[in-house]
Amino acid sequence: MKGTQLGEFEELVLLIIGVLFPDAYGLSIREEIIKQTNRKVAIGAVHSALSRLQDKGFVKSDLSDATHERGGRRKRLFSITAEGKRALEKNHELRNSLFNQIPEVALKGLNLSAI
Amino acid sequence: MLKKLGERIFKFYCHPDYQEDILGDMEEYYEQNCTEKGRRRAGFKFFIDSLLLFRLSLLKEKLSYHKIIYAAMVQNIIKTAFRVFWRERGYSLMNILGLTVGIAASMLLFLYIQSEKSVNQFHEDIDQLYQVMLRQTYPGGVEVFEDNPGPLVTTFKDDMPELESMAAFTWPEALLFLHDDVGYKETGRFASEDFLHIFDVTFIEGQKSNSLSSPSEVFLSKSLKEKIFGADKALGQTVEVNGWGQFQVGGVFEDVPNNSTIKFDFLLPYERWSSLNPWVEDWGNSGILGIAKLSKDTDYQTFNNKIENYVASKMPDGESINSIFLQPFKDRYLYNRFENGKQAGGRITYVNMFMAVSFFILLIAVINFMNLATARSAKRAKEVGVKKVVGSTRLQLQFQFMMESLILALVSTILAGVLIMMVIDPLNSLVGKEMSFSWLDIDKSISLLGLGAGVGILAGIYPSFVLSDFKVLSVLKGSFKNTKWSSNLRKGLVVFQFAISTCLIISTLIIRSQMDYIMSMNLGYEKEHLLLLPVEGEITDLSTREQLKNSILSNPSFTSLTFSSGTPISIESSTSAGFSWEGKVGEFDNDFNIVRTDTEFIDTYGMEIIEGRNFDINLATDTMNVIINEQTAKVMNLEDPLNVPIRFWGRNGRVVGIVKDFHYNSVHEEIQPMVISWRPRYSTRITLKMAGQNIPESLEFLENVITDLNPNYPFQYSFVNDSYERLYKSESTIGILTNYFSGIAIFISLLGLFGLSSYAAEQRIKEIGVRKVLGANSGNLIILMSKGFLLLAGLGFLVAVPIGYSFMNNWLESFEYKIQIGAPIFLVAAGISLFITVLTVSYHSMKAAYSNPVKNLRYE
Repeated sequence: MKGTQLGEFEELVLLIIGVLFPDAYGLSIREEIIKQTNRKVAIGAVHSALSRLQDKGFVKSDLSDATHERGGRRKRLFSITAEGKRALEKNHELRNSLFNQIPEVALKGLNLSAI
Repeated sequence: MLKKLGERIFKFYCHPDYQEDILGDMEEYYEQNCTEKGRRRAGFKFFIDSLLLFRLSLLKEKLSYHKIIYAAMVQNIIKTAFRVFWRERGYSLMNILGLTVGIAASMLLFLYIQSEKSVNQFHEDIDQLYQVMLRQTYPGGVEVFEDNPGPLVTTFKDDMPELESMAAFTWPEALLFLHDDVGYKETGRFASEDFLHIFDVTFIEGQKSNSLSSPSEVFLSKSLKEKIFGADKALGQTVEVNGWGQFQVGGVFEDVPNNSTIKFDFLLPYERWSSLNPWVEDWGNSGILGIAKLSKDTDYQTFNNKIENYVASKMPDGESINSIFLQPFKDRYLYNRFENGKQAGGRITYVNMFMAVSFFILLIAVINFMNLATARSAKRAKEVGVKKVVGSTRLQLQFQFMMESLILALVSTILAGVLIMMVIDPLNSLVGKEMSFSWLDIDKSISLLGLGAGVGILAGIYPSFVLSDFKVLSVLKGSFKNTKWSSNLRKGLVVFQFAISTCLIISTLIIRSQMDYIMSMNLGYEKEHLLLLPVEGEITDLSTREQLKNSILSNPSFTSLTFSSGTPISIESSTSAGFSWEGKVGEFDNDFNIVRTDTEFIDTYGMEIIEGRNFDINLATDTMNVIINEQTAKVMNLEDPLNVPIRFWGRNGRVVGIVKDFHYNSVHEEIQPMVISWRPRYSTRITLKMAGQNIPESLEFLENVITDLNPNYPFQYSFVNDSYERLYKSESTIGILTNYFSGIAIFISLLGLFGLSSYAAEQRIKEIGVRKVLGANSGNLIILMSKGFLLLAGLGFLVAVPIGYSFMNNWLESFEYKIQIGAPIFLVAAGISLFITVLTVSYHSMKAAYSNPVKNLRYE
């Protein structure tokens, strides 16, 4: 079913949530994505991906305690659910197995930096 | 501002569950950006992000309930819009062209208005600043000047506790700066101690706090400092000023911005000037400009009442024709005209005029859009009918047509931005402004987009109501017709467009003929081939002058030469106190103008002596005598003023001649009484009459002669006719602007007419075919087709005549010497507007009339 598929950007966000645990919230995720991948990402893109991930049940979220920063507003901290973990693993396995099935000849003589 | 707006928009659409944490994120991001990129950029980013967060998954439930239907609908609307634009590309192009030109033109006018309004507004305490003005009351009327009595500098602040500070400064003067044997002729002012505490300039070198207090210090603008000292520090260095010895540079300030009415490249202490001009220390004289800062809680109107008799109270007899008042400095530039001592508009008239013009240009473009959309509505009728059958609500249809107009407006706005960037530089050099536009300038691009959106909405409202109002049954049955009412409204709007355009044509013609009149009017002197040189440096010496005169006149290119204290372009004025004559009745108070000159003045300027004679170089007694103009003769009120004994500034003599009135200063004013006296010592200007050939060689010769005698001064000259044209700079700027913008207005309304005429031709193509078959000739058909439009143009003209007449008559009122608005101007305007109407309409009429009827009737 389409709903349980992981999109490319969603997968990236999901991975970053894992990396940042336990401090993954909207802005920190965005910054980490920019840092790690050099992509330009709008806040809106991150938040809509997060809400989709939550709809699909791959992440769960809790509101943190309010602080004086951010105009007294609480953060929504995200963490990966068991289902999210399974989806990540599935993607990871699929990718690995596909990569392993590439015959060696196909990659021979290719400059690595060109891949 | 933007941040608040963004927050509000976001809260409007975002699902409440997400609001808190996302807003928190945005707040945090905003604060980061604040420290990195500044508050403005951060606010802007916040706003953009709040728009980009509009994602389906984050929407409120109420909004997202229909989300799929809405998304599909919007997509469909956009698709349909582009298809319609493409199918009728001719019309779309016309619409876009009209809107683009209209939006660009009104944005440019808006920028012009903004730059006019920004003049002098850069002072931080502008609300507390006032210029001290002087009102002189004569039996014949009241006049207002900027000059004030000199003692004001010291007494005014002490006497009036309401004043925080008060500074005097002088009219700009050109002085010679000498450094390392290189001379620079520069223009600046003398100013009293408090001046720099009132006038906002930033100091680059030195301290502002104790400026202008030391008598031997000079303050330079950044560009003047760079001219004299290059990149070196100037503070503490010395420069020789005007042969008054060495002055120490006390500070360097940023150049005075272009939108300041008070300009200067250097400042010298006021005491230097007042010691050279001791006459100014008399309460009865006036010669300094004043600027005052009132304390925050003082009401200037009340204060003005209080100081009304201030000058009089300083006079020994307690009476004076002078009284001072304050004008808010922020109004000084736009409200610069006084009539009979009362504020009477000024530049603000032009600002309002252009505001109206820019509004009307937009309106014409909007009307085009409305007319074309409703005229062609029959083509969309079926679409509307089907949509309604399928279940579209009226609101949704209105939304659709509104979107179409917004899309067109948006495209036009973007093109308008490009257009503005292309024409802004040439426009700047035409009107002498420094306007700028760039999409990166957030304020300006937002106002342009706002303008575009406003136009889109305005243009879309009426069509969207008309189009969504179609009755399903009649549309689908095929019995649909445009209503009489909407076609009448269309005609009315065309008449309105024509009225505006014709009004602008009339204004352009009148402004132009008034300018021509000013430039070519008989001034009573000849302004061609006259060259002006300043009297400065060595030339102030009388024997050097003789030498100069002889060597210049030895060259046949120069026919005569005169030294004088003023020229007809700018003349000295004085009160009547110094002039009296035998038989003078009572106290006479009137403004007299004075020229102190030699025997050659009258001949050099080609003026005409109507009675008596010119000064005679062989009669030494003539230095006691005066020549007067006709006005003075009238004022003296004698049967024969010639040879009447007079006393003028300490000399007893007679009136030896009466010169025919000649215009001096601006023709906005009436010619005033004038006295010409033979006292060449006080000359400030040399006027040379040239034969008019070999001008470059003559100038070169002149430069050699002058620099020989006056090696320190750079050679500077001007032509009298150029200076004369400069007197009317603001009028000619207005002339240029109305010229262009009425051209634009006419162009846009013709575009609309072109569209309508093509539509009309299309509608009647069958009728024309039948008429042709029955024997009508092409000429008849063209007349038949154009008649209606000509009638509309004629009606527009009739509406325009009274409006244009009264408006321009008002404008001409400000000139003392002016043209009469007569029938010829209106005939020309009517001719122009009818001619271009015929030209526009005839294209499609001719096309229809010459087309082969077989083609048009084949399918019937």
